[in-house]
Amino acid sequence: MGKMCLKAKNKGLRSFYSAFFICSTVMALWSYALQLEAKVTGNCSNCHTMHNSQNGAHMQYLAPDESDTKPKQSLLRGSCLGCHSKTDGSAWKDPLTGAPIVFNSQQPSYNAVMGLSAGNFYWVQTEDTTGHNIFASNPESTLNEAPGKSWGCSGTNSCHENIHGTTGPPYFGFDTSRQGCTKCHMVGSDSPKGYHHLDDTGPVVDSSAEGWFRFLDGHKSGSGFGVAGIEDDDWQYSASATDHNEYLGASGTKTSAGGFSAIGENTMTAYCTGCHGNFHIEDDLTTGSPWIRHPSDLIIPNSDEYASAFGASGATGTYNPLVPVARPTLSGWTGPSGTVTLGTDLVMCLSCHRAHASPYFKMLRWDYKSWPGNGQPNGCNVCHTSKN
Amino acid sequence: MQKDKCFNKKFQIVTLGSMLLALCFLYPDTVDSGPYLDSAHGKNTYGVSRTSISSFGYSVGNCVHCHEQHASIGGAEPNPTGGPDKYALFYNNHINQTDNVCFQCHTDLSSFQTGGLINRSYSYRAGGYADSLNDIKEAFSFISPATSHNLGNIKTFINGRWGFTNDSNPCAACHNPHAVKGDPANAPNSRKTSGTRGYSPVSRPSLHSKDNNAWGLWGDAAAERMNMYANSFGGIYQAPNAASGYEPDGSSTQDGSNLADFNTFCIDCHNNSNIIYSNQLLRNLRTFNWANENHGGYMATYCSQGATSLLAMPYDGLTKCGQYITACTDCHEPHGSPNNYLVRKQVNNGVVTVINNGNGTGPDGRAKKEWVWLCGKCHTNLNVGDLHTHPTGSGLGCGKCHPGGGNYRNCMDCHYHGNSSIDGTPYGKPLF
Repeated sequence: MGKMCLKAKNKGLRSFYSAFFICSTVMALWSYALQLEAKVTGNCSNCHTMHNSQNGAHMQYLAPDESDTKPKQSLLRGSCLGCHSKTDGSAWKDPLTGAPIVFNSQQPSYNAVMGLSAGNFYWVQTEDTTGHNIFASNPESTLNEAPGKSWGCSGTNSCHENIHGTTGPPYFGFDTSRQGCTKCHMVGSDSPKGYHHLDDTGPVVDSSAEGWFRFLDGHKSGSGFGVAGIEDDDWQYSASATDHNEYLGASGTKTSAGGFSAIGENTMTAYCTGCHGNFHIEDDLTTGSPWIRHPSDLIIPNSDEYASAFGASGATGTYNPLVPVARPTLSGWTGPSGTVTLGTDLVMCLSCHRAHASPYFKMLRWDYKSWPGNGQPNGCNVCHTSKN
Repeated sequence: MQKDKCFNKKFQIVTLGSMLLALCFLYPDTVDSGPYLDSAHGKNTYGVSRTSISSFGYSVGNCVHCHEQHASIGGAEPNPTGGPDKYALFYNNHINQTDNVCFQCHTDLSSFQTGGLINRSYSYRAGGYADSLNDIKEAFSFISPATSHNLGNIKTFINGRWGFTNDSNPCAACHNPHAVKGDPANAPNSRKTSGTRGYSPVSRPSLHSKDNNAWGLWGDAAAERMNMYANSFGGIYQAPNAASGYEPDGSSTQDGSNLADFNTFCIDCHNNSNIIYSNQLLRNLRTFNWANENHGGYMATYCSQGATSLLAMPYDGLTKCGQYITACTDCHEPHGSPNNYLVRKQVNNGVVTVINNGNGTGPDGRAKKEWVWLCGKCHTNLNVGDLHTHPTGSGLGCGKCHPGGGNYRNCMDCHYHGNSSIDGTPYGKPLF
């Protein structure tokens, strides 16, 4: 009886250890898989279809207002928006593919900023001034070229003229057509293929092998360059001082139209100025400062009113995801920092603007146009602390 | 049971308290009003509102009415065009006496500010004088014999001082555009009243800072008023008469507790050490130490002859002699005047005309007594036939003042800022 009990007890222990080992292994693998979340994982059929047919039905993910159910290049099951959109306002990530949702056809309601880090194209549906208009079916009605355009191809539907139009190959340096999203993302190769399969586990994503930050790379004179950064694992669905993207910045000349080739750094500002270059002529070439436009990629001073920017004391403030800053280097970084170091970190394009769209005029991150009449805080005052 | 009830009640109170506390944190921030939002430019009810910007729907008081972040909105530069300008301003910071960014709005004609901008002279605002001058650009447009504060000279003078540079706007020598308040506030066609005081549109140039909190207004605090300045010398300030009541706000207050200490403000530049060249006078301005001037800290003691006060009301030459300290603005306009030397058109509620540098006729018709139009507003018995008011026994012969018999010398031969000698001979005390 005692022997039997002992045996049973040993068996129980073995079972426990076995279960513990299996669980630990599964947990470890799952954790590893989570780390790879930015790189597309899962079944191929989540994104690709062999015959675009299943039980007699097409296999396409259709974005709101899309009706093209025909097969797509690379056997894809949808256009960019087909995979990255939802018809409700609550989804921020596709539950099957894990794709971030950048276009909700209903007002985003899943977080306070009503969008992911770059915002949400929902706002552009009815108001062009709130974002980059990517909609071929609802094109930009005011602008006829990128504001501040200093270079780039001209002509109808050039990427530098508009984002909604479709470029026809072989024009504009691409062998494949470009429309909407692919006029900004994945421009570093003729075909926007393959980026989703690159390993962007980072934590710092700063090479073409990793697909650059959010697939933002240069072409033509900017070939070989791309945006470097740390990609937040939920695209800032949730964001805090310690939970956010990180961006590279580079203080340098403010007298040129920027762009990767002129700036020579893998910064977000260099990327934006590829189309909006004139906005990067911020300093008077003949006499130097003061600024003639608001500077981008400028080190935030630790003096005067800026000494208390980001609530700083002693040159160290608290990172505010509403007003992101760029870092002069991301080398060796293992994750986002919760602090802003005055005299070191930089103001950049995305400090004020969201890349896709926002609820506000000129895709700003806060309702600047209505300030001060709206009685709400002005994001400008995060740096310009005494101008309130 | 009783215990449970008690616990429930405590629990409810704690819960309610926690919820209220949570609300304090969750309730959205409201705008944190600082000096800009309280300023004449930042007020969202009557602040800056450029026509080409307000058409986009920008709020009144928004930065973009003056500063264009990219010199482009909607793919084009808002009016006025011409490309980006320094400080991201919508117009060149300063071009000349009548052309700079401020004048694009501070004019009643063709103003970029929605509805135009009316601003009145100091004589109008403080003295209740009904002149027709109604905007700042006009005030700076006076040309000889009229005068206006020379912006080019100011620009030259402040360059390299107090953080100003060659790019600085000369208007910003005296005004902090991010803090300035109207006085009266938002009542440009009215004189100051005790109920409409913005108290001070000025900021001391010597305190200039890029930090808007550090470069505050001057005169808004009680310690920055004329009564305090006079008190620092053991003297008093007497407010001049206005069209009704006393300057500057028409109230019965006479001690300067309602007037910015403009002396300390002006002395930042106009003192006994700063050399300021005047393009209008074609010479350096006279240097003087207001603390040692008759009208300043020296506090003149010659105010009566016998039982006769030599001072006009409201000044009392019999009982308060040796105590009076005047303010610069008692006699001078800050921006421009139809008179020489920025002399006000109205002083102590009397009209002043000095357009021949003192060589014109005085109120009594005598030549070279033009300054009596000004001085006579406070100093009595200056006309022919009046008491001989100059001190006797000073060793001066009659000819010092009356060359050629009954003629007069220009008062300004002796009585000017910083002078204490007559024809090169020290007089022993200040003559102004």
